Amino acid sequence: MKNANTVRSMLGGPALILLIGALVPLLLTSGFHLRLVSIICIYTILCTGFNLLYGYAGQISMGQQGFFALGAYGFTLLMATAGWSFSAALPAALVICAVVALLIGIPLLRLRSHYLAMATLCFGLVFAGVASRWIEFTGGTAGMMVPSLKFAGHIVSRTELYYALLLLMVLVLLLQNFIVSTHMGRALMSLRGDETAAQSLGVNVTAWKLRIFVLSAVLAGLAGIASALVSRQVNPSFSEFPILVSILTIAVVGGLGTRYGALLGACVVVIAPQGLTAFGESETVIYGVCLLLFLMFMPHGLSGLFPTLFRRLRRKAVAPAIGAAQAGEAKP
Amino acid sequence: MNAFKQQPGAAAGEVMLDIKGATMRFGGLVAVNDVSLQVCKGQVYGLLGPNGAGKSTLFNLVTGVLVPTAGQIGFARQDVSTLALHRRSALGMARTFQIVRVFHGMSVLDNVLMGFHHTLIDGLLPSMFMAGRVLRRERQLREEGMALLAFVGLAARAEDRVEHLPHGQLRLLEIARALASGPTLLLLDEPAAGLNDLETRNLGQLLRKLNSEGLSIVLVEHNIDFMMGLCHRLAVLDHGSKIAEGTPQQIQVDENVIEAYLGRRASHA
Amino acid sequence: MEQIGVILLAGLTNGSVYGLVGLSISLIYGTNRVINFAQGEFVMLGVMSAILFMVTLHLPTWAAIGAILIVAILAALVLELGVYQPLMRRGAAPLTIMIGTLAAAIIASGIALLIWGPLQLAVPNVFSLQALNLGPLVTNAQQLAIIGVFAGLLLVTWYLMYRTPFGLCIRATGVNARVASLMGIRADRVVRFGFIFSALVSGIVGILIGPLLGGQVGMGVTLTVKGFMAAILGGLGSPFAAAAGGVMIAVVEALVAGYGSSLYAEPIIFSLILAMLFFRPYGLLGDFEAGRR
Repeated sequence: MKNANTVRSMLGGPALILLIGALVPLLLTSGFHLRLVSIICIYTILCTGFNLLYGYAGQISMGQQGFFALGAYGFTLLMATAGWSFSAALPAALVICAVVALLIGIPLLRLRSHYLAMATLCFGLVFAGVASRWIEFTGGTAGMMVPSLKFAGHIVSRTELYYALLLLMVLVLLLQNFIVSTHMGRALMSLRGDETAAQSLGVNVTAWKLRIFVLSAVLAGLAGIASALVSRQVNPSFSEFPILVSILTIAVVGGLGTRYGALLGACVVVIAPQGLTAFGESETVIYGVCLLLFLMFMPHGLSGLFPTLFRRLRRKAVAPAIGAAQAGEAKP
Repeated sequence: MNAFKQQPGAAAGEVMLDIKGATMRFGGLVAVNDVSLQVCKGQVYGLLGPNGAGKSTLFNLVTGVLVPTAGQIGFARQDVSTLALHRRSALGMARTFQIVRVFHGMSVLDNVLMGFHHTLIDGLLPSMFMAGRVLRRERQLREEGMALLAFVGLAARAEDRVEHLPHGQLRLLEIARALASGPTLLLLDEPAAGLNDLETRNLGQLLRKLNSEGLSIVLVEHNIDFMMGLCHRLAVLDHGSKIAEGTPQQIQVDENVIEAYLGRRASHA
Repeated sequence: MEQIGVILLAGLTNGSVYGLVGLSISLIYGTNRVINFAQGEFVMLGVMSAILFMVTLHLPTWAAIGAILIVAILAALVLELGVYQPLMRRGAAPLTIMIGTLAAAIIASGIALLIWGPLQLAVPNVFSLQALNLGPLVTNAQQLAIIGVFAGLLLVTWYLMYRTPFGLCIRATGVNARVASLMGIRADRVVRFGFIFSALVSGIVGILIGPLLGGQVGMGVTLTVKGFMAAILGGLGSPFAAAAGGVMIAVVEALVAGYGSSLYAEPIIFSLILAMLFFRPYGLLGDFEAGRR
């Protein structure tokens, strides 16, 4: 009975999101709005990886923008420059992200996690520097154009691309839910607590840190590829500081360690500035202030607003379980 | 009180834990000095000694938190002196901690389920490929976890966050978590520390029950009465060396022990 | 031969800057286990307020320097009272506090952007930039001043930490904050001192490098990262190891840029640091942290 609940809670959210997401293009009139919802999908994928890594496993990476750009550049170079097909370039770019994450992660993950934070940030900055200066290979600060996708002679339209992204995002959320509602999620959460206790229970702490770091890098790379396809270009700004600021703001505002915090935060961060165009240059200040205020006063982010509702629902579901357990307790 | 000692199975049996000449040095300090002892299947084995005698260090050598400077720790017929910490639970070794170490931010049940970890599919990709099996197993785990919680008397708190549990219940939770890993040897580091009399008595009963079902137990404890009533065999450490070993009766009359540790108590009694 | 001299001198100048930022980061980390992400922003504030006080307000040099240092102290207090303390009171983890300091860095550079705009601005020099022949080397007073101030600040830090009773408190807090506070050391004062002292160091760095780098509101992040790289290369546990790490990084950077291409400098240093961490996880010169969890 409890497990039926787990499975339902795993599938329910993503199914609802898929349904709503599928209806969105019918309600939107302009291509600009379609672009915004596409960006929401991209940020959700990006921040779901970050949330698994930091929100659940307590290991922070400030280089997600580096992997975001690595995925985008790898994909574009393979497809546009090397002439690979989409179906070969996509997995190859993700493998590149995974391998680089492994190379960085192995020396760093044995240390305290702020080493990971700062070293990954270095990675992001180094990547941005190389991308903007290695002009003959990366196109310098101007970047490169990404050819539009073709399948069987048919050019993929923006709406079709959005549906693909929506499906991808829902799959990523499903994967996340599968991870956090099984032993994998417990292993991840044990990492942010007591490592000795986790190890003595058989959790290979180093391996799990590495696994989740690689997964989050691959998800960042995937988001980067999606972003390259939506914006039809890649440039060094993919790996620059503002992307990191967005990732952190989305994760913290939406709610770290919550299932739908990434989506919630992405909606807020993408949609809110549209209504507040007057802010202009002060946007970064506002991001910073939001980040700080949420860290202090709402550590569970916007997702933390719903727990009362959640708890009420959960209590209903749990009450019979406790009854059964108490009956069981009386037996022996 | 010492009814257990009369059990035939407790007196002799297969050696489970075989410590040979274990030595641990921290710089110039010898915390454990050439200690050898054997724990047999079905035994409750106690480690006694005054503060700083090296009990906890020895315990950490056995559980793998520390690697001995010299000597061997044998468990399940192999040398585990240098075996990685996370590989030990699969061999049948489970432990609790001197200062309770539970995972915050998780429910009581989830904490118990952590104990099953080493029996489950390791890794993200293998788990994804066998998603169906993982989910089915997850359902069984919840039932098994609830049964363990019921066994230690915490079933009603299964869905609570661990942060909300009082100290005594956390100790029980740690034991339930250790049992979840299906151990053949349970290592308890001062399990009665911070418990009141009633809780200590209940703990004693719980441990006896576990032992009667065939589980071997190694205990480090300060509470002498608790130890004397529970253990089949005791070793006494002082200044890092083993100064005596034997049944509780033998220990109580051992001159070295009286001098080093029980001395004052004995003269009062 | 002359080329290597010029390269090493350039390396030493940049190394002084990286080293001082690294020293500041390591000093704060030593008192409270928090990486201060806003460290580079202190330098940026130093540079930008130099423009404010010297160019916009036409203050005499010494008054301007005083004003810049007061700005640095105020910024440190704002960070400590407005970010560090509130998060500590709520029992936030060190990583959360680190994100808090990052938020502070974002706010600081955002506000600076509103005041000074995104363009690179010229910063007036305190010391002469006139070419100075020093044997075969060509340098200038500003460059020499940076190296001199680096040496001087190292000495001051060493004196504070090892020759004053308060330094003993700092070191004790660094080893174990809880035990130190049980021994009657006011850990909060040590932490506040860490913030103020490191902000002062960074403010001084700002005054000195402004004329060489120019003032740009986004310069803080790069400096923070360089400072942290210095600290992990040398060893986060000791301010002096961090300072040495800064010099090493800058010298390698200058050598790679001088004999190869500046394109490779950063990737090479990054790879070197990763390789080093694999073999010596707590830095080249630091192992005092290794035994601690």
